[in-house]
Amino acid sequence: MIRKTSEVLKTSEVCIDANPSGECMRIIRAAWAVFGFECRRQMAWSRMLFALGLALFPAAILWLINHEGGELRGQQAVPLALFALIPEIVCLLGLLLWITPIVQAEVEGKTWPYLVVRPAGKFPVLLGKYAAGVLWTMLVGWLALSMGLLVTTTTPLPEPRTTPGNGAAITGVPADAFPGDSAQTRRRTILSPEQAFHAWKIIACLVALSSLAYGSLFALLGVVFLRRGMIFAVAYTLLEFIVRWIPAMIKQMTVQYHLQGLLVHWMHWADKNPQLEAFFGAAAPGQHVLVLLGYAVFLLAVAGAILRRRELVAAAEAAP
Amino acid sequence: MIALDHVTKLYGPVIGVNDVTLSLPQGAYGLIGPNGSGKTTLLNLVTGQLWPTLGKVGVFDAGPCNNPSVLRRLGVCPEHDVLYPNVTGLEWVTYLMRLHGFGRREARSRAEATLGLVGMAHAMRRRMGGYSRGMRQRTKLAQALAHEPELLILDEPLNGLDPVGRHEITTLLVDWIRRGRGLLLASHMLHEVEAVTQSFLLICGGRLLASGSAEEVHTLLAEIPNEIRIRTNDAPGLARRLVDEQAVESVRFADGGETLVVSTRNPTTIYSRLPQWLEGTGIQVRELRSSDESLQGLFNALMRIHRGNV
Repeated sequence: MIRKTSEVLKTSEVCIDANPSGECMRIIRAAWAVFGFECRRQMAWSRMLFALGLALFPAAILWLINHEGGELRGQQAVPLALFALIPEIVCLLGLLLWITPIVQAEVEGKTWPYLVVRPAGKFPVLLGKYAAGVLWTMLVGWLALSMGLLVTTTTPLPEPRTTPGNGAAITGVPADAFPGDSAQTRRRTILSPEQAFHAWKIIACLVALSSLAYGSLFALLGVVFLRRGMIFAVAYTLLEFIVRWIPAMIKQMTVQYHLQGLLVHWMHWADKNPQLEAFFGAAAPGQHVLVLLGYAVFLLAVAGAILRRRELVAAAEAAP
Repeated sequence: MIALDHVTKLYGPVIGVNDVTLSLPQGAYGLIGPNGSGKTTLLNLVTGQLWPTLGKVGVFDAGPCNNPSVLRRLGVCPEHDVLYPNVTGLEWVTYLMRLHGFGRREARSRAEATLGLVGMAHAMRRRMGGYSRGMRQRTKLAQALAHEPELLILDEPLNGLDPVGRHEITTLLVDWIRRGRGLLLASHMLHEVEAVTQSFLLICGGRLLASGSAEEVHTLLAEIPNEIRIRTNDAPGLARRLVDEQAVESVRFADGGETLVVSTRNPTTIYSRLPQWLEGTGIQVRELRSSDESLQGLFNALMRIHRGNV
């Protein structure tokens, strides 16, 4: 049975005006609330299964390549394959599905009006959902990386077809470029545990940076192209895959360029192969990291500014 | 409390709200109009979700768009259902309270108290995917009330509620008004609004056609002929019987002669005296319904007056 409002809501004096906080703190607190709520929502079985499938996919590819007698023997090939499969595919797929529709899902679910009539406004909603999507993607990426490296450290090679010190025929990078590389370890498994751990640290960082940078890019596309954000995000990704190979300044605008530059630097491949430095530039790793983080902040700020000015009432109301 | 100055909202070539000017002091108001009349657009302008194409919207003497100081004082219950199927009602209301600026503990205690207030204490820890329409309505209302707003804006809050639920929520709203809080209640049902407040705003076609008390609206209604459709086994016989009655303005046949459409300014008389008129005639009434239940007749007439056709 319902009761009188005056009996229940006696705490009206405890108004939020009683605990004033700065604009920035208000946004952070609201974003934190959105982040927590979104993380709990992610814990649905369907999403967990999808994430698990996504995380297992690179390990399955690596296992299949090895099982079918593929040429995944040079230790440079493994990090390259993991880089191509995880920060470039798994992370992008995760971000496409979890970040691009962050606003569209609320608008189509008709839950948007409940969020934007709160004093916190729209930006904390964007920020909180972005953070949840990025964290979820990173976790999937790191799990995929761990599984992939587990395969490389446990799967025995069918037969040693490479000679000691010449295991890099695929990439053109000297085999001893990889720390801990030795003919003996390569005979037993694709990577030794030390090599795998070294690769894990580097690619895990790239997963985080890829998620942050592409996440903000996809969030922006999702805000600008509300209903077709995913299509534009896919189109942009394909375009970037082409542009990154163009030997001109424009390639430096892409996220891929900086991620690959970091991979080459952190794996010390450029030390052994000056051609790589010619392609990826001589920029310090810190510079690449700054650019990627700068992208994330800038694109998210632009998305927030656009969202602030957008009228996103339910489609049914706005449509003629 | 609310001031609209020549406000027009266009959705491309379609007019949502057309040159509305009004000033509402603190109090309770019912916004009445048929479906698609512009009620929700008007509410969205007041809550800052839409910007006016022309004119100016003021709520508590300030623009509501992206204005935390105004939004903090509003409690909004939109028309749409909430679709977070794997979240409990308590989690959802707590979440929205946290977005309102309350700390975790305060948000939760407010959510619990308000969900109890709207009769959801037994189901607040269940997932919303399993809620009935009425339970969703109550939960929606709870999130609008929980922060004790100065102005409550409700869009069709009684949709989906059973008669008991309607009575409970109506009582709650009446109590809310008694406490001196503001209310703007949009509905297409006159009697729903009438049970809560006596101040009406009539909107149709995006225009604010009339405003006033319940009595004034009923006077307007009395001047508009109502139509009653009667399906019977002997429509010509019934027509012969009814044309002599003073309460009947005109009759005509519909549905291939099976149905009689009776035009009257006094439908209550027709309803109460029809059994008496039919006694001993052998005429059987198979279906009887009013086609003017949703005030459409009134709004059509007001639109004609507005356009200068009457």
